[in-house]
Amino acid sequence: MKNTRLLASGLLLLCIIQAGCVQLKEVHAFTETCQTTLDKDVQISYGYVDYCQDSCYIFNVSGRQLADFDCNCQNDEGYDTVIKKEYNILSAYFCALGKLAGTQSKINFAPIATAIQAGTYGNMVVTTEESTVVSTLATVATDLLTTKYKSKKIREILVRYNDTLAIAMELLKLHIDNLKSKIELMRTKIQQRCDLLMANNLTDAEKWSTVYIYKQKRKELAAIISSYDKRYGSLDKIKQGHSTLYANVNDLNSATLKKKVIDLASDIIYFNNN
Amino acid sequence: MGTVNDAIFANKLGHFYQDIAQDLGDFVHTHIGTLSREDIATLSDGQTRVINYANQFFSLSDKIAFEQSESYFNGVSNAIDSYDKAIKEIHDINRVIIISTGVISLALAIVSQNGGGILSSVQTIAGAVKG
Repeated sequence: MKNTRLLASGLLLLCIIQAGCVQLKEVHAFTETCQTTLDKDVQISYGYVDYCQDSCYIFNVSGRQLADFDCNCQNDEGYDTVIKKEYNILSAYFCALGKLAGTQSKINFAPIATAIQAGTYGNMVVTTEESTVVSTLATVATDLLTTKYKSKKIREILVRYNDTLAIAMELLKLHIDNLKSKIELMRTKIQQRCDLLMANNLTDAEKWSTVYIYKQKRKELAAIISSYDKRYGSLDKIKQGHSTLYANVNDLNSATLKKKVIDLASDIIYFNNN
Repeated sequence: MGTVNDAIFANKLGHFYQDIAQDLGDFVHTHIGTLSREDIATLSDGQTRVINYANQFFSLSDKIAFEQSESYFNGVSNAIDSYDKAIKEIHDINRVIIISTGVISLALAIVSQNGGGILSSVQTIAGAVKG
């Protein structure tokens, strides 16, 4: 009788432990996709410094000497750094969620070592609100990655930080869209200048050079704009996925949720591969 | 509005001016063979100013500068959605010039948070759109 009780207690304990460490494979697949995508998108080759260098001659219609087109883009380096840090912190957050989902993720501690400070970076002012939400996520990620929490902790994290993540993602989406739109305005300006040049009785050789430069620069900018569309689309899906997890926080094992998060992960992968 | 919503609104204004700039550019691009030098100069000058305002609104969005802006922007949001659609369908150079002048005045009024200026600019543009 005593042995039976001991056995029953042992089984119950195992069940409790199992419930605390249950693997949420689909949730993990989603968080891992988010992490991989954010790590990839941080590496984009055209940032604020590149925009500064291009815009300072494309929008300059009064320059006469080469020196008139020189530009100082030092401040914009700070801007690019802030965007990179925000990507890295979000990546670390999803890495931490993945850890809670029960499967070991590749953990990179370096990105979350420094948080975002409020202040001015080139054209961008990082407000206290932005600094606070991003730093909060950095702290959460560090805590989760360095402490042995059970998987049931994921529910608490999703509930407590859903709003914070939503604001951080919305601000990052805005920064991405603002820069992309400025690049598109540069493309509009190039069209305007080339239209005006072509209307100025150019020689055949001058016309050919104008058309060539117009086409080449438009093609170059189209590729950059397309990469920004992908970045924006991925961020949107990641935000949507986190909201879906939050909305289903009491039933993370439901078949409906599993399908939804796998579909979102597929969408994110599609954005990145097309 | 909170700061995030302010930034979203500034971004929306930027997109509105961006679309108008593209519409003006496309108008010149399509009709450049038939437009007078004066009309090309007027439209291009207007387009440049609209581009500058669009850039300014996107920068403001990054700076999240539109705090406590709600009282200045009532009515603008709904109006701007219809203008871009209308300008695409107008082929009369005089109306295009009036609209471009109107949106430039509107941008100036928004940037300077001039409620009266916003109202009169919205009315000018609405008049030109109706024809």
